[in-house]
Amino acid sequence: MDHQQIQALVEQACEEFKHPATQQRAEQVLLQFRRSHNPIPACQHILERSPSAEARFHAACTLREAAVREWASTPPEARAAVRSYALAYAAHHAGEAGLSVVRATLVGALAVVLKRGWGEMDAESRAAFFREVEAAAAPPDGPGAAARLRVVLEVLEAVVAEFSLATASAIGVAWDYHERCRSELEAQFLRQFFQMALDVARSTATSGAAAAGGDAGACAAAMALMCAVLNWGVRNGGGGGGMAAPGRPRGGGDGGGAAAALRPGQAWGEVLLAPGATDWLLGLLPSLRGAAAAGQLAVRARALVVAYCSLAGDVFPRPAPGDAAAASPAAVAHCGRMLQAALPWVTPAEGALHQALANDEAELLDGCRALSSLAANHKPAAFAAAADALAASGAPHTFAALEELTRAALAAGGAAGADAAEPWVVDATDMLLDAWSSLLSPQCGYAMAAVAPPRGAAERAARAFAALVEAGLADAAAGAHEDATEEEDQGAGAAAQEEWLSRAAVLARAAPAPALGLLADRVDAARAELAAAASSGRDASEALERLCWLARAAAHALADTGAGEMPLPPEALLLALSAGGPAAAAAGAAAERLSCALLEIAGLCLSPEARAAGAVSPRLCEVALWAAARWADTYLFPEDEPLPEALEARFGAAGGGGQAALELLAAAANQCLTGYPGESDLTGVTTGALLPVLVRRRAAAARLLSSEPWRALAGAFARREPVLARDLPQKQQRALARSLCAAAAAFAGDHSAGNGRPPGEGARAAGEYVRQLMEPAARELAALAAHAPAQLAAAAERADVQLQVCCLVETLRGALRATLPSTQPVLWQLLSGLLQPLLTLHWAFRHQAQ
Amino acid sequence: MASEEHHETFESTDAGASLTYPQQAGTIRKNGYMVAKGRPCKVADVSTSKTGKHGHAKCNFVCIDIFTGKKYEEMTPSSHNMDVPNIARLEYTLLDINEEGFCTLMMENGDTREDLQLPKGTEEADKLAETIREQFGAGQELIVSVLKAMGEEMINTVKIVNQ
Repeated sequence: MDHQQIQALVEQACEEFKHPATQQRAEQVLLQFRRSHNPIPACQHILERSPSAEARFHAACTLREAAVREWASTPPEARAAVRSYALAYAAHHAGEAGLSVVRATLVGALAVVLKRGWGEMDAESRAAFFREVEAAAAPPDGPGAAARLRVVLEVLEAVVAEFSLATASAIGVAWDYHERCRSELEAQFLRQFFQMALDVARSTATSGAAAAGGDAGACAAAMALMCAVLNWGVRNGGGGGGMAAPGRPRGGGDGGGAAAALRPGQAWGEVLLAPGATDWLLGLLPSLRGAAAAGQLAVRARALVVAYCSLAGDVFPRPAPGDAAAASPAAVAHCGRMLQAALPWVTPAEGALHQALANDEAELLDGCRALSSLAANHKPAAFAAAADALAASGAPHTFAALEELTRAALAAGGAAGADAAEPWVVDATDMLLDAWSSLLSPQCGYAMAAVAPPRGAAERAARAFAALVEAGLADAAAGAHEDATEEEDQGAGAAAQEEWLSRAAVLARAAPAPALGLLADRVDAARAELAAAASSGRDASEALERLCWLARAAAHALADTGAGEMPLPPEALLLALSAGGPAAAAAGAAAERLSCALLEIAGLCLSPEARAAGAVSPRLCEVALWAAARWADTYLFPEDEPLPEALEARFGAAGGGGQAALELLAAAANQCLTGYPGESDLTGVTTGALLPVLVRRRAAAARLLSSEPWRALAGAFARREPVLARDLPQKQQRALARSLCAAAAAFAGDHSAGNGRPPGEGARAAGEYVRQLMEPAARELAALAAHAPAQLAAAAERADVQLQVCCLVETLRGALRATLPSTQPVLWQLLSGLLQPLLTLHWAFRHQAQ
Repeated sequence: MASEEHHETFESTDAGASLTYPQQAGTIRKNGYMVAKGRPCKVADVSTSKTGKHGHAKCNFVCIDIFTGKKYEEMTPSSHNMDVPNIARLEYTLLDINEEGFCTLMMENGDTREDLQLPKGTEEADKLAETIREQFGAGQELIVSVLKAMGEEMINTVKIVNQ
C-alpha cells in the first residue's frame, strides 16, 4: 500500500471512530496502523498532507511508538532524522492552534527519542542537538517568531520531564540507564535551560508583550520550564549531590508538598538569587490579578513564585560560623522579595477571602502556600527581618497580614475538618497554621540557648489563637448531636485532630499569659453552661462537647505527648516562664489556673449530683481523664527537672497541691472503673492511659499507695469483685493488674529517703503488697483446677467458667508484666504453685478456642 | 464469696446445671456464643455505638443460629446482661444409619441411642450428612461429635477412626 492509500484509510477510520456503530472497527484499523512495521514514512506523509487533525494526531502517536519500538533496527542517521523532523514540524506549525495536541505528541516523541539515544551520543553531539533546538526558533523576528520560541521552550520542558525519574516513560531500558541520563542532564544542561527560560521570560515580561498576550504564550511556557527545573530535585528525591530535595510532603492541600524544600545547591545561587533574577516577575504580577488571575499566565507565574519560596539550603550563602541564629543577608533579601510578590494575593484578608469564596480560590491558596513555604524554609529571624524591611517601605506587615488571614479563614470554617463546606478553606487554614508553627517554634541549637520567637509575632499569635478557640468551639458544638464515628475517635480522624491541636498549641505557647488565660476562662464558662443546662433539664450535649474540646486543647497546650521521650514541660512555655518580669509571672499564673481547671473537669465525674443531673457523660469522663493523664505525665512529681516556679509552688512536693491532685485522679479512676458499667472506651482510657501515668514515677506511686482511693481500688481488686474481675474487657484487666502491681516500685529503694529503714524492708513490703493483690486470683485458679476430671469437664462447658478462667489468666499476665526485682520472689512463688493447675485447665478447655 | 459459688455449682454434672448464664453485653466478643431470640447463636460480629456522642454505649451483635444457620441482629446497652448458652460436646461411635436418617450411636460405656438424625437445615449440615453417608457406606468406622446447647442436639463433626 502506498502512502496515499494509507492516508485515506486512516482518515476514514478517524471519521468512523466518531460514530458508535463503526467505532470498534475503526479502532481496530487504527491499532493495526499503530503496530504496523516501519510506519514512519507513512506517518510523515500523513502529517504533511492530511487535512484532518485527528489523522495527524494518530500519525504522531504512531511515530512516537514506532521510534521506540523499532529502535534497534533503525540506523543512527534515521534516528537523528526522526528527532529533527519532529522538531522542524513542531516549529513550522507553531502558530496553528488546532494542532496543539499534535505538536505536544511530537514534542514528547522527540524527548523520548532523545533519551533513548542519549547513551550513544557524546558531549559534542548532545550540545549540537540543543543548538539545533535553539536554532529552530529562528528567525527571531518576523511572523510566528513568538510561537516558535514557545515551541522551543515546550521541547525543553518535555526533555526535562522525560529525563526526570518520576515522569519518564517506559522505553525498555534498565534503571541505571535512566539514572545516568538524569544525572548527566542535570550536570551538563539543566542550568543552561534555566538561563534560557529566564531570559525569555524576562524579556517578554518587561516588554509588556506577555501581559498583553502578544507573545503567543512564550512567557508562560518559559515559566513552566523554570518551574520544572526548580522542581527537578523534588521529583528525583535527592539522588546525587546536585539537586537534593528532602522535602517533607504535607498531606493536606493539593498539588505537591505545600512546604517542600527545594535545595538546588550552591552553584545555582547566582542565577536564582541575584536581584535581577526576579524583578521582572515582581513587575509582571500586579497585572495578573482580578480577571486575569485565572488565566494560564497567572497560574504559571504564581507557581513559579511558590517554587521560589520553597528554595532552601545551600543555595543561600552560609552565614559565618557561630552566628547561626542570624540571617544571611541574601536570604533576607530573597524572602523580602517573595513576600512582596505574595502578599498582595492575601491582603486585605477579608476581601481576599470573600473574593476566593465567590470566584476562584487558587490565588488565595497559592498565597498561603507561599507564606507557609517561606516560613518553613527560612529562620524566623530572617523572616521577621524581611517582613520588617517590607513594612518599612509601606506595605502591610507580614505578621499582621498572617494574623488577619488566619482569623478570617477560621471564621469561614477552617476548623471544621472534613465536614467543612469548602474544603479548600481547611487546606488554607492548615497551611497558615504551619506557617505559624514554623515562626513560633523556639529555635534550639547545639551551642546556644533557645531563642524566643520574633518580636511582634507573639501578640498576633495570641489573637489568632483566640479566633482558633472560637472556631474550634463552634465546630465542636455543631457536631455535638451527631454520632461519634469509629474513625473519628480512633483512626485517621483522631490522628489528624491530634496534629491540628498540637499546631494550635504552638500558637498558645507563644503567648502563654493571654492564651492559657483565655482557655481557663472558657472552661469556667462551659462548666457554668453545663450546670445550667443540667439543672433546667435541657440537653447538655453541646456544652459537654465544648468542654471536651477545651480539655483536649488545654492538655495539648500545657504538655507534649511525651511519647518516646522524657516528658518535660514544652520548651516554649519554659522559655516564657523563665524570661522574668511581669510577663513571666502572668504566664505562670495562667498556666497554674489552666492546670487547676483541667483537674476540676476530671473531678466532675466524681460528683453524684452532676451525674444524676446528666451533666457528666462517659465521653466527657473519657476525654477529661485522657487530658489529665497527659498533664500529669509532665507535671505531677517529676523526677528529673524541677518544675517552673509558679507550678512548683502549687503542685510541687512541698505544698499539698500535688498530693491533692493525685488523690483526685485516683478517685476519678476508681469511679470510672466501677461506676460506668459497659463503657469499655472509658475503662480503656482509665486502665490504659491514666493509671500507668500515675504509677510511673516513684514519688507519685509512693503517695498513691497511702491514699484512700488507691486502697479502695486495690482492695476491690484483691477481693475479685465482679465489676473489676468479670465485667471489664480482658485486655483491660491485664492493664489494671499491671498498674496495680507496678505501684510496688514505691516500696523499694527507700534508703535514700532517710527514714532509717533498711533496704530489705522495702523489698519485703513490696512483696507483701503484691501478694495481697494477687493471691486470691491464684487461689481461685487453683481451686478450679482441683476439681475431679468429670466435674471439670462439665464445668469447662459453661460459659461463665470460661469467662472466669480467661479473666484470671489475663490478670496474672498483667501482674507478671509488672514484675520488679523486689516482687519477683512472691510472684514466682505464686506462679510455681499454679503450673500444674494451668496444665489441667489447658487440657480441660481444649475444645474452646478462647 | 466468689469461691463459694463454685463449690455449690460443681456438684452436679448436668441435671441441675443451668442451660445459660448471664454475662454483661460489653464482654461478649466475636466468635463467642450468645442467646438471641431464644436461640443459641455464635457471634459473627460485634460493634459498639452510642446515641449521639454523649449517650451510653450500646452493643450491636450479628449472630448466627448454631442449628439452623439463621442470622439474627441484636442491639442492647453494654451494661445489660445477655444470656450465654452452655455448649456441651459429646462423642459417640456411629453404628448404623437407617432409611429415615436416624443414627444409632454408641457411647463409651456401651449404651446406645437412636434418637438423633443426620444433620440438616444448613448447607454445611447437608454436606456433613453427605460425608457421613459416604464414609459409612464405604465401611469406615466413624466417631461423631454432637453439639448440645439449650436442649437441642445436632451432629457437628465426624472423624474416621484409624485402625
